[in-house]
Amino acid sequence: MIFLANRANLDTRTLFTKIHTRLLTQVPKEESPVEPMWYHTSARNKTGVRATVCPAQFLGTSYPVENAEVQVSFDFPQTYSYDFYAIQWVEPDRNLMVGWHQDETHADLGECHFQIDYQGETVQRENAAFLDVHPLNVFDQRIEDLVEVLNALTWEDGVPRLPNEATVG
Amino acid sequence: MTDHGLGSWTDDLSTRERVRAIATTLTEPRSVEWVREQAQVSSWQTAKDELEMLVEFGQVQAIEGDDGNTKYAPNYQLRYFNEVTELINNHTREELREEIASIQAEIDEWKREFAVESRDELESTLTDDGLDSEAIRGRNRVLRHWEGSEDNKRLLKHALELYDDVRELYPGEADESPSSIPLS
Repeated sequence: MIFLANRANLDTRTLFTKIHTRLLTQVPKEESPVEPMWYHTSARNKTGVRATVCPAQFLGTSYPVENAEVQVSFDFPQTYSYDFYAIQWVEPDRNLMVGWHQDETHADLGECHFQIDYQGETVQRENAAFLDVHPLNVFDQRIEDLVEVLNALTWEDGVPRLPNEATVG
Repeated sequence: MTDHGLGSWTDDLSTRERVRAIATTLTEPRSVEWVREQAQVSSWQTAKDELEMLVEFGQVQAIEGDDGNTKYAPNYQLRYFNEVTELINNHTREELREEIASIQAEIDEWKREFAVESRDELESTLTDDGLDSEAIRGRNRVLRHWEGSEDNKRLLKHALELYDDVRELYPGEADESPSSIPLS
């Protein structure tokens, strides 16, 4: 007997394939900031897509670290009326994470929040716009937001922060 | 779109290709108008024509929406078999077996962490006294991951069960990694 897997799982696998393919098409381009990419945890057990990016090329300006990762995960829980996702920029060298999380946590901030984690601590968390659009367009919008946010990031007493006047999307 | 970051998914895609990209990655039934908007297509008729063609080829399903208008939904049967086929075509049997073991190890770790024997048992602990809201959310998160892991394990098992038969139908790959080891 075949038990069809739950649909959310098939939705996420289908979407990860599309995002993976899209990132893959960027790699041969000389000016592309995308370097190796892979499925997290693996192509056989897709729970997300991760890509190594060159920050200087991604931002079009000099940047203090040479490597960063763009991490993408989506989930479509049937008990919620909206999609879950995490789209984040991770710098292993500085133990820095900047990104958007749309999930069941921090409901006081609405469906979606922006977050900065540094050295294992959350140093900033703000409400962010809820994007009621297709996941491919969510991804595009957040990548665009990421460029703005990283350019606006300031360091006060050695701690990263997005100034209040800067947009978090 | 800025000059930096990554190019948009719409770059270099024709109108019909954009409709196709949205329609084949839908996660719930959507109207022509919604697909048209998300695909950034100006013509409603073009979006409608492309969706109808995708229905004809079994890529999506047309269903009647609550408002009586047609909506377009994922074809989950096709989605399932596409995943099975991709696993078979791109991986060896050994890789599939290893992945099943790795998923099982993750599930075993959850069993140990929460001192339960199954996902259902973990779900039944959600009403336990003494769990604060953060702990409940954490367990809900694990429950979702656990369900996804079980689904992926099932996909991998089906890929293994169909491996030889499907592989023989794959041009030029019929002799790839033959095995006489029983699948179960």
